[in-house]
Parts: sequence; C-alpha cells; structure tokens
Amino acid sequence: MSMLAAAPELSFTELRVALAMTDGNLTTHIRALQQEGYIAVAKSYQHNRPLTTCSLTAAGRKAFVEYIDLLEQIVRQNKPK
Amino acid sequence: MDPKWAEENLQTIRTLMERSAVYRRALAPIMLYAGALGVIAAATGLIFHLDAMRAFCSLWLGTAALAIGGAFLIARRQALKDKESFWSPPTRRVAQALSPALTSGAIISVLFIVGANDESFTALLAFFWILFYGCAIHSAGFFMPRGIRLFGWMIIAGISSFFAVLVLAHASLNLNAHWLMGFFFGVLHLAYGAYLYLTEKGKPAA
Repeated sequence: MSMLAAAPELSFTELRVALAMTDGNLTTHIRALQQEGYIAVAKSYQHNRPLTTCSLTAAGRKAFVEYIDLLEQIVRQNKPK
Repeated sequence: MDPKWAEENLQTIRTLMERSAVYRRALAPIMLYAGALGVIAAATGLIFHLDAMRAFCSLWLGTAALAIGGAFLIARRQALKDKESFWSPPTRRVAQALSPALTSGAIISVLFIVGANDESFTALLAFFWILFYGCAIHSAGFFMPRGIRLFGWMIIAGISSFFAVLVLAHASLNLNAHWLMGFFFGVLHLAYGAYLYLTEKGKPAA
C-alpha cells in the first residue's frame, strides 16, 4: 500500500521484486485488497506480453491515510518524554 | 529497535504520499493552461503594442491572476474527483513555498510602476518576474516530485544566462519584453505540460 500510495501505478513484477514475495503470496494480498475495494487491477499487454498493473482506488487512498494517521498517533503517544 | 525508526519510516511514507498527491493534482493541465495563456498574452502585447509600463504590467499581472485562478480551479476539480480535500496539508505547503518569491515579484512590480514608469524598463521588470517565478517553482518543488525543481532551475538559469550575455555584450536592455515573457511563461510551460502529459498518459490516477 505504501508503494502504491507513492506512485500512480505499479506493475505486478515491480511489486513482487520490491517486496521480495512469491507470485502466489503477492496475488493473495492483491486479491484481498481488491475485494475490499482498496486497489484496482488492470490487465493489458506490453510488447506482446501480459502486463498486470495495480493502483490505489480513492477508497484505498483514504483508508491508507487513516491508517498512517493512526500509526502516527500511536507513535506520538508512546514517545519517551 | 531504535525508537525513532517507526517515526522516521512513517514520515517517509507520508512525504512520498503527499508528493504524489500534489503531482496528481493535474500538473500537466495546469502547465498547458498557463502556457497557453502566456502565449496568448505575449501575442496580445505584441499585436497591440502594449509596451508602456502600466499597459505591460496590466496585461501580465492580469494574465498571472487568470493563470493562478485557473490553476486553483483545475486542482480543485481534480481533488473533488478523487474525493480528497482541496486545501490539504500538501497543497498548503506548496502555497507557502510559493508565497515569498511571488510576493517579492508583486512588490517589485509596484516599485517599477511607481518609480520606473518608462517603457525601457519593461525588459528589466520581466527579468525580475521570471527570476522570482523560477525561485518560487524551485521552492514548491521540495514538496513535489524532483522534476519541478529542475524546471525551476531551468527558468532561473535561462533568464540569468540571457541577461548575462546582454550585459557582457554591452547590448541594450531596451528589448521587447513580450517575447521574453511569451517564451518563459508561454512556450516553456507548454513544453513542460506536454512532457508531463505524454509521460503520464494512460496511467490511472488513484
């Protein structure tokens, strides 16, 4: 989600390499996020090879921002004074 | 674990996210719109010989107001389309970064209208406008993708080099400033907008 929040879209391969995950593992995560409506998956062709790209939906971006806000709140509350 | 690790990582995520958000706010259409306005204004100035200081300032300050207003409307429309708030922290930071240099440009304008109300000073005024604008764009670029800072540097380097050549060659500064303004605020913006549009074409915006 962090990677998708910082880019308009990323390919399946880019995500797999950056996250060091297997195809099956990444597919499971993507499917779960897609079912929640947080990411959109587009399939196309590039140089006659199939290309799958993922991007955050508006709902996904909103949920991720809320998640980051919550994490920051937790970090602030637990910061040693 | 380093206690600052979580804080630093979250800050990195937030920074990357915010830069992406401002970039998505229709930067290509804004550049194309501003560029088109710049070309139209330059053509208007040349055709109608709006060379007197007051006429020159009225034309270009009016064009700047239209450009800023239009840019806000385009960015706001994009924010509404993405169901995001328009006046968000990233947008505020960009506006704050633009303010000092643009305000300086406005002050210089008043000083020139009051103290140097002569046609021969329009090129010098254009130099200061373009220079301050380049600085403003460069400052805003710290909250946006790196390409904007490079664009700012291009404007600064371009106008500085042009005037350096004129001064070193002892050439007259009494040149038609509409050409200068048309190039920097028109042609350059159109070119950058086209580059952004072509490189981002086909990518879905979240």
